[in-house]
Amino acid sequence: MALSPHRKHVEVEQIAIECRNLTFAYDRTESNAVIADLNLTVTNGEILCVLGASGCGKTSLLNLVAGFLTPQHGTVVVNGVPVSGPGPDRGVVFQEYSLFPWLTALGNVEFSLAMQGMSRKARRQAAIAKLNLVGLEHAIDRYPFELSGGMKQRVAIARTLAANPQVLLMDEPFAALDALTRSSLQEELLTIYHKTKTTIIFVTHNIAEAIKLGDRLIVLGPGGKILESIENGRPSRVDPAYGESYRRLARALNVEDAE
Amino acid sequence: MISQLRQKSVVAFRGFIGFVFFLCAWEATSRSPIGNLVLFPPPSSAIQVLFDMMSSGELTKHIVASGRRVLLGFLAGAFPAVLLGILTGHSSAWSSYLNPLLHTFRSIPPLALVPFGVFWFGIGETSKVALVAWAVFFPIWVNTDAGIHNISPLLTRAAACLGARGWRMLFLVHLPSALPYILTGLKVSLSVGIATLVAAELAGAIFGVGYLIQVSQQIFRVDVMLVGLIALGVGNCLLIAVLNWIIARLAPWYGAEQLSLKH
Repeated sequence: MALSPHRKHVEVEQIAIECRNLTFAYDRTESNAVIADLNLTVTNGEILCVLGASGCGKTSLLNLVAGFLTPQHGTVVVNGVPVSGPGPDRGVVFQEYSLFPWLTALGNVEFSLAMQGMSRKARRQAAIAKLNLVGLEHAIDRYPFELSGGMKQRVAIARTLAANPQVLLMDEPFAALDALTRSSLQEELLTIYHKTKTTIIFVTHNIAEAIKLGDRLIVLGPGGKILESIENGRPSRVDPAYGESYRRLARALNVEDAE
Repeated sequence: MISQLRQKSVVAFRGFIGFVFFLCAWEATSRSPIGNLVLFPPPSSAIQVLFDMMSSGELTKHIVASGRRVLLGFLAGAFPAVLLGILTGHSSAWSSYLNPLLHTFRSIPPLALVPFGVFWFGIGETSKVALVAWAVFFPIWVNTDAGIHNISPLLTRAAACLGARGWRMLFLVHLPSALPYILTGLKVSLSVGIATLVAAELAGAIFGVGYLIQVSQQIFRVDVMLVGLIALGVGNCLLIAVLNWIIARLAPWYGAEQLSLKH
């Protein structure tokens, strides 16, 4: 299969994320492992989209890379450093709205910058710049309860990017949004990606979304086994319903009429 | 906006009508053949006495004395309650040491401690302040503990992957996250504190609204007793209104999430 120009470029770069013989079970019993002996690498600047049926270990994989979970066996290495817990080098955007309700949009982004030790004066300007990046300069003083779902996720992305992470982990961040907002946020994410070139692992159930965003798409099966891995020519401007990638993914996911 | 204002006005007007209806029924019952103007004086008499006592300054000195005790007791009970709530909410070790003891103490009604307060601290101010502090402590402690326990793991994770650790996690994430619980504890404890204070003042005091009610009972002045009750009710409402005002300034987001879902 021919690689996209982007893929050819990232091939020569160093590995950003490496999962080596990763095994994890919630009840610590290997026979019940959600992820069993998974080996996976993500190169620097790559967008890896992870698909799979519910319970196949997509979110667990993300949580292991984020450092929220500890594997029974194996290691996760991010830019050469073994993961031993959550840290600002790995930004996470969750499916559920995770903004701090007691802080405004600006306050949420400033929180991230404060954790990096930025001075009060500098962090305001930097936070406004990050909110500009996601098109929310008009809503900086609004509390999360005053924001729509799409706006909340935009702030969450701005807040995560403010920590300047080496890796961005996104767990179905647009799943709860309507189709129009989802599409617009996908475009915004690609725009941000082209500016920052941050490595991204993007978990989704949506095949079209994966094709639109991912440099590489993988489908996880039971035990976190990689059923399918596709180099994708992103950004895909063809109708995803007729693309070869779509057909292969749908087959791997065992769906006839996926989204 | 206009419809919200109209709705608020309608609610306020209905509340006013409820009051007027209650006062009319009370007035009519007192003045009816089955009523007794001495034992069950009408509101018009009680209100007349209320104005007389306010203009002479008699009522003010009792309200000030009770208000001071409530405030001091509230502050003396609330601070350790919040601190202990954070400690027991955060640390399972401290929780296992302290929770059985604190829950045992909590099950003792504060009013049962009034005689002990008099024995241990006398009939002066200390016993009343200590009893109020004891009474307000437990609702605030329980709520703070629950607030810290119920912090969303999602927010903790979000903060952790932004770099929050240790005291920053505690003061910048866990404490604000538990604030709705703490504020609820403060509101609940205020009424409990006032109830306990009245009992303490009934047991022995030389000033205070509880004292006023007791002395009036001894001289068969039911109208003055009613003034005491009115002062307690209005005082409680005012204190809660002040607390709500402070909460609205300190935490404008408090309750707003639920409110925004209703509209």
